Amino acid sequence: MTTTPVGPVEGLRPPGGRPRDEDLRTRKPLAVWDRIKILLLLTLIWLILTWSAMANNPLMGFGDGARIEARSGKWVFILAGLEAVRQIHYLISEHWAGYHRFWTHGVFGGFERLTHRRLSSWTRFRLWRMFTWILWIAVAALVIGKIIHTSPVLALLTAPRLIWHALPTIIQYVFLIFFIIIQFAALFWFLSRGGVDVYYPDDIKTRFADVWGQDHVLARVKENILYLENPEQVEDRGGYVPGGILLWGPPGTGKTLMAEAVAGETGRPYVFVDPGAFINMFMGVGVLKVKGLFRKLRKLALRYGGVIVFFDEADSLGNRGALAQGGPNFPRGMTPAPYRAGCNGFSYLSQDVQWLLMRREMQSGIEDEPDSGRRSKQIIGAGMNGGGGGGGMGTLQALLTELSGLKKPRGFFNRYVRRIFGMRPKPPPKYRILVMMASNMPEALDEALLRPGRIDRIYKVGYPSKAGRVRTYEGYLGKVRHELTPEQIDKLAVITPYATGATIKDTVNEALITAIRNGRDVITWQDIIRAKQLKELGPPQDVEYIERERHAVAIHEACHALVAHHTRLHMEIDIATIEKGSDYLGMVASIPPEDQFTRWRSEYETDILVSLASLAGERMFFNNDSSSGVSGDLESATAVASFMEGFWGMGSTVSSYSTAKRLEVGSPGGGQAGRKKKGQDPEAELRRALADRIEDNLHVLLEQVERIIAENRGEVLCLAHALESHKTLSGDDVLAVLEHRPGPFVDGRIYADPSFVEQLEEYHEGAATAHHEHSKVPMSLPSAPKPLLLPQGAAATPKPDQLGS
Amino acid sequence: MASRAKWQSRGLAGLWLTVIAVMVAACAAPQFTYVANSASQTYFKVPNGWHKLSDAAIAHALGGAKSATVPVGVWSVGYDGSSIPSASHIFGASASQPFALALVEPLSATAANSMSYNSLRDVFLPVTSTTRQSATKSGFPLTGFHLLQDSVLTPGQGVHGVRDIFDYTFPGGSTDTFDQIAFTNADNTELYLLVLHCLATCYQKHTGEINTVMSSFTVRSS
Repeated sequence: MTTTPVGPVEGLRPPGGRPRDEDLRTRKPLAVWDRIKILLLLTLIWLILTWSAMANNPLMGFGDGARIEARSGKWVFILAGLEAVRQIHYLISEHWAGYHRFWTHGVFGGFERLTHRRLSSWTRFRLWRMFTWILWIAVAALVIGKIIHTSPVLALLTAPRLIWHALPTIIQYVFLIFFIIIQFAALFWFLSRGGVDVYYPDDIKTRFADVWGQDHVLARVKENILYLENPEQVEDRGGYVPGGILLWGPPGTGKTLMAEAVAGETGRPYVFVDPGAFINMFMGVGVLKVKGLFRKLRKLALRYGGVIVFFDEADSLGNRGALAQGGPNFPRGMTPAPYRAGCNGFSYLSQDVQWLLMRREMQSGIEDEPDSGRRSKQIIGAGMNGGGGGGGMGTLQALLTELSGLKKPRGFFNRYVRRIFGMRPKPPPKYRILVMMASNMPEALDEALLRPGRIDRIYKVGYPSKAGRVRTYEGYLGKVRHELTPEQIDKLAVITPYATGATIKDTVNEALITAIRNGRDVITWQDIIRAKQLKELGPPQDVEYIERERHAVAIHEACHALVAHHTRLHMEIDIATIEKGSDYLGMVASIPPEDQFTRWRSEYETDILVSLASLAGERMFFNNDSSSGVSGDLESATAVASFMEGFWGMGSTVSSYSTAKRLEVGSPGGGQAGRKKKGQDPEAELRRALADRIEDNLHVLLEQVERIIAENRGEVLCLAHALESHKTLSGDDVLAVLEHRPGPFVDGRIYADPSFVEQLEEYHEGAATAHHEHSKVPMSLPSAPKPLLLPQGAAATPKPDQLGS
Repeated sequence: MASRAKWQSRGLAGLWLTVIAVMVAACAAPQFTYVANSASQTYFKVPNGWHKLSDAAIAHALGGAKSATVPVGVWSVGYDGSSIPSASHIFGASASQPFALALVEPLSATAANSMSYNSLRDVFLPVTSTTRQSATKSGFPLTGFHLLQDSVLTPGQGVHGVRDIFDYTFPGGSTDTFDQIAFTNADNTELYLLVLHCLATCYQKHTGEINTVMSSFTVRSS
């Protein structure tokens, strides 16, 4: 039995069947058209010249015309001869492997190797540029020589004279161009300037030592610098040098400073691209800018052996919308906004499930889990093209092309003239360009921009860790005179958990201003605390409450503070105030003393307790009366309780309310919500069931908080008094009041006196009566025994020994 | 497939050969030299072997020893069939090979008013009897005038003129033949002249060639 060999289907090539150019032993055969096209073109030129000669002289016949033009236009024949030689060369190369190898590897390859061995990239670039110039000048000489009927050399020599003679005409034309065309050209040129600043190595003084509190990111960035300095280390082993870094994180965390430090450390030029550089008024200006920028970068990279370009606020570059993003494959190192609550970024799920979730998220409305990050959905679902604002109009695409186009051959001569001689275009020299981008909206960046090869490394520059904050405080305090002890600096770092380099610098500066205003040039602990309060709360509005209202607000905040102190052990009270702000009457703010990344049910419950404390307190202290000031507290308590019950599995059920509602499968405890019965609204059933459970939970917690407040009624009154006296208390002061010891501004020892607490109780009764009768409070606020109350500003700083007393 | 490729390569080879053959054929010398003055739209051709004389030599021959340049507005060109070209062959007695002189000259208003076929005949050498007589009186050296042909030409576009072929005997005894065509345009503002001169024997020998040159003299008046 014989088998017929099956050849490839005509017109189709098996996958991977196309050999690489390097693997071919002979030259790839040229198509017929490619073989003859130049000769045909030259023949056509010759015929045109003959026709022109015949048209100029009525006596001339075709034969004589052709022969005459063969003489006067002999360059056509010279070119035809060269073309014939070239085609013969190709023909031999196509059939004779040795000949082909001799030319590609021996002659052209040898020349390439020689130039690479002997000349640096920059010198080669300059030589090539010179060659290009000479070639153009030669072509110009030939053309001018032809026009003025002289030799090219003479034409070149007479060119200055010709130019001089033609100068008046040229000037006329220049003027014409200037007034008509240049207006537009200049407009575009000027528009395409700006926004890009180049700093040369000596201009930048910033070093890695100046970046504080981001040691882990810095270590990563340093790693990249190592490759920029010594790229052969990776390339010799077959790898490639990472060319792009994205630093993302909240504002003020030192991203720009880090990029500056990179430039300062490497001694390479630093090109700063302004966020507004690519906002353009006219179509195409942004593209011109990008092209101009990268031309500049390539030149700098060759000249200085590398360059660093920094795109500040890279989100201004915009994105192209959801469909261009490629589905749920979120940028590496980031979790997209819809899944911010997810603990593992959902990466453990299969691709299909990720798609499903993504689609669900995009379809679902905002009545679903109102997570803070949810709002970013608008960004993800933005327009298909040009969405996301930013540069737009092709700027982003131009940038993408330039970023990945760095390895392609460039230049007219390189790509076309070399090809005419049968030489492959030279690959470009390796431009050492490190692209750094900074953004605090990484999800607004285009996915294509972040793909490996363009941006290889993505680092989060988060809030500095406590150690980082300490280092940052030490750094900035080191520049001014101060009397803060290391313990106080440590404490400061604890009570400012979300402080960034920028806010720390600002706080220290504010403290210095406070000190100078008080006639001192040394910063004290009080100055720092005042500066912190000023920065966090803003300047006080100096609104004077009427006495009974002031007392009510103080009781309200005191209840919050008391319950927070007793129950919320995972957080410390940072500040308690009855100073009226722009949108609040008073507040108690807490901070996590440690860098904590998970939240627990018990913690959420204490959050609700603290929120409900105001309602419980007002009802208790004002005979079941309560103000609308608790609305915000109830809102947050309800929200947290709803999430616990419906979303986080912290209630009596496990299933997620949002999913149950979306899939219409009903909810445990909600009856048969999935199947609609006559006269029954499953949605309403489901809601009622959930709402009831939330309400029940809140009631239980309200009772608990009422017990706490009832047990510590005296402490509430003490805190209220301290607040009424001082308006604002720091966390330490609150502790001082509750623990009856001296604080930074308040001496809590006075509250250890039971008779004083009795006075406070009497005052409260008076204020409560005045509250019900809308009258004046019959007595004034009890004042503390003078010797014990330390004067404001001279209060002792919490020294370790005092804290223990 | 194989046969198609074969035909393709044959066609390609044929094309190459054709192109190369045409190019090689083009390398042969042209038959004529084409002389043109585009400004005055005057054309004629001379055999390829004739040599062009320099402008200065022509000017010298036409204007005498004192003149080395052609007056402004006058176009003149000379072609010599001799292997040793010389401007002296214009008027000299030793023109053993044909010599062609072309001239285009603007006419003054006076000359234009008095322009006639006779004045065209006498534009280079005295041809009409009146002019010859007055020339003889003033010491014109050539003798033995013999008119061989006289015809009026009207090629069109208002251009008109005469062709005269005549012999003159030089003082040395040699008889030379002059073949001249003189044209003027419709408003008599330009004179176009082509004169061909050589020994009478030479003229007879090269009659065909000379006729080709003379009949190629074309003026396109605008």
